[in-house]
Amino acid sequence: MLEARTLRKSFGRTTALDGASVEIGEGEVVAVTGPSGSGKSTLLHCLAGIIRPEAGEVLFAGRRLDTLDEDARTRLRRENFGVVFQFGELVPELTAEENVVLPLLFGGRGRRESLEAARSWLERLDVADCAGQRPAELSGGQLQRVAVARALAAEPRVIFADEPTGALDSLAGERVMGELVGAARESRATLVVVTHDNRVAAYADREIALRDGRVVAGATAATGGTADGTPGEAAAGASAAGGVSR
Amino acid sequence: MITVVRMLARGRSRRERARGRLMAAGAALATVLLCAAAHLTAFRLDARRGALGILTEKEPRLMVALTLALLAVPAAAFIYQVSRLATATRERRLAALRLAGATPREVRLTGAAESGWSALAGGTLGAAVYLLAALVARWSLGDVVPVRPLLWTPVVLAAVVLGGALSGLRAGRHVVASPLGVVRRARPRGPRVRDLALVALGVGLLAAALAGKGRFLLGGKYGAAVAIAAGAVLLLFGLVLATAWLIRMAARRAGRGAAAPETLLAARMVEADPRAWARALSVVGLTVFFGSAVGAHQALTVFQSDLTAFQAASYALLYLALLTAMVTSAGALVAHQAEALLDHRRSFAVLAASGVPVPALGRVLTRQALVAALPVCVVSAVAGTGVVVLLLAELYARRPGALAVSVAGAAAMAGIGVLAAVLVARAARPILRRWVRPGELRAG
Repeated sequence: MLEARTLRKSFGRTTALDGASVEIGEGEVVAVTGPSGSGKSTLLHCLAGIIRPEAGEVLFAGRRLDTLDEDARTRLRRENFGVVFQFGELVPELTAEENVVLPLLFGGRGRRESLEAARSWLERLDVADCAGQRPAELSGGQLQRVAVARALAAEPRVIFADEPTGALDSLAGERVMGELVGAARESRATLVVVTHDNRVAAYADREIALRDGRVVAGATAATGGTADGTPGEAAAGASAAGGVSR
Repeated sequence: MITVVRMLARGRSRRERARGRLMAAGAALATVLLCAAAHLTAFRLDARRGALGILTEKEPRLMVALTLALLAVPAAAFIYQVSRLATATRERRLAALRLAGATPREVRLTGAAESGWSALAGGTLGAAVYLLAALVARWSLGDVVPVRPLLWTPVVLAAVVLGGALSGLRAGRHVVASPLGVVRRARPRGPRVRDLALVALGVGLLAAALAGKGRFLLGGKYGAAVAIAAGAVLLLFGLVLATAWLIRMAARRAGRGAAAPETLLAARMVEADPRAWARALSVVGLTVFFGSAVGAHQALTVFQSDLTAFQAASYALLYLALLTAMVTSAGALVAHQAEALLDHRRSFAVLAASGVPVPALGRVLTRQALVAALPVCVVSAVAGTGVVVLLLAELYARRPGALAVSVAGAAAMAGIGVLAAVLVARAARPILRRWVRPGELRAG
């Protein structure tokens, strides 16, 4: 479903990705882990087509993503991907319901149809009571569940979540992760979660470990090791720490 | 305090330096306008010279001086709007001062001193430019241009600096910085229905004075004239006060019925902060009000008889003043647009990352301008034309063509106001494209 081949990406003098390669299958739930600055978010942004790598290839359903122009990548993201960010990142001026409706309207659906879909998702994620409230009036957990509803409402084929529980306490985090993974499995969507929290990674079928911009473990479902099949030293370390394939 | 301000000035960010320069530009313009107004009142010439009569005759010259002084209002609005640029950086810095041991009063005064410093720099430049121009005029025209009133220049400069400092003080009044460096923005109050009281009072006074056909219950012989003037002034100030309320109501309506996501997003963003739009659009509204009133008056004058050279020059000068006011208020709109983009750039970056095309976000900016500017400009145009038509109802009744032209003029003025706001929003699209980038997603 998703594949990255020897990605390289730098920000100024800082190298974020240094030859990272991964393969993610359809319906798979994958956790991308690693210490701060290891390139997790950059990998997610490359896979989601938000940024283009300087070198390497990104493929979605067998089609090159990194060579598409901005408009084509935007359309692809809108039609196939859903994104959940660390702090929810809802539009503060809109109500919870309007936040969920917005991507559907941008996707060309009618207002009534979009509202019905949004209400159904808010109900499913147990935040229907907050539909008329603005983000500032919601708790961290509610806010993140609305963000999950927004990402799932357009029924994406892949959901990207960047530290979705990073701003939540453990109880709220578990609930959000449970619902995110449950909804992804139910709709047979692929889920890619960036996290540095082992408890969050435990929800995944597989853990892709990054260090210094390189994938050191779990690059493919088949090998559970690096893309070329050689686990390497760090991979062994990541395995020992509870990483790689489950 | 001066040492602290100088230290802070050295460490200012690029955006803060831009704010300082824009404030200085506004202060320079205000100083030139006020100096010119003060100087014109002391000219010794009093002779009819056709079109030049507006400068050579005493009474028209005083009107020109008043117009120049009034033009300082959009310049002041520009300074006030600009003082809100880069507020996030400024608030963080002021909070850090609290951490370093400054009292809340010292923090507020530091903010005021920073703005005052920019106003002083700009004001000094403006004063120097004006003094130079005045001395050149004296050299070429002789005794007609008196030198003594130029001694008022420092007083004008002091007033401009004080205005700049006060705008800095007001810009930071919602910020509360605790000793732990936590910045809390006290919630500014929303627009209230009672903001409409002045409009109601103004309309009531006008209606009562006009209904009495030259007679009014109070004020004796001149009662009706005073009531009409007071009603017009109350209506004018009432409209400025009611702008936020008007914008919020219009945005609420637009959001409720929005089918397009761009309109929904634009309307909700405007509804969430109508005061910011009101600040930026109040001078546009005033310009449209005066422009419509002048247009209505001119239409009637033209239908009565041919314009004399003096009248033509007077109208031309008025339109030039209105154009200057519109350009200055467009500057305030640019400052507002930049600030609004800074506030919303993360939301826009997230939407872009989620698959919303950047051109659609550009349309959100345009629709925000439309939702906010349309009601303000339409109401201002109707009010400006309405006051003149009501005051001169008998003359209009004899010349129905003048009414049609006045209405067309009002529509054109409203259109110009809306167009200015929309063009500023469209001009912001390249900045939007630059700011809607994945780097914004990492800032949190």
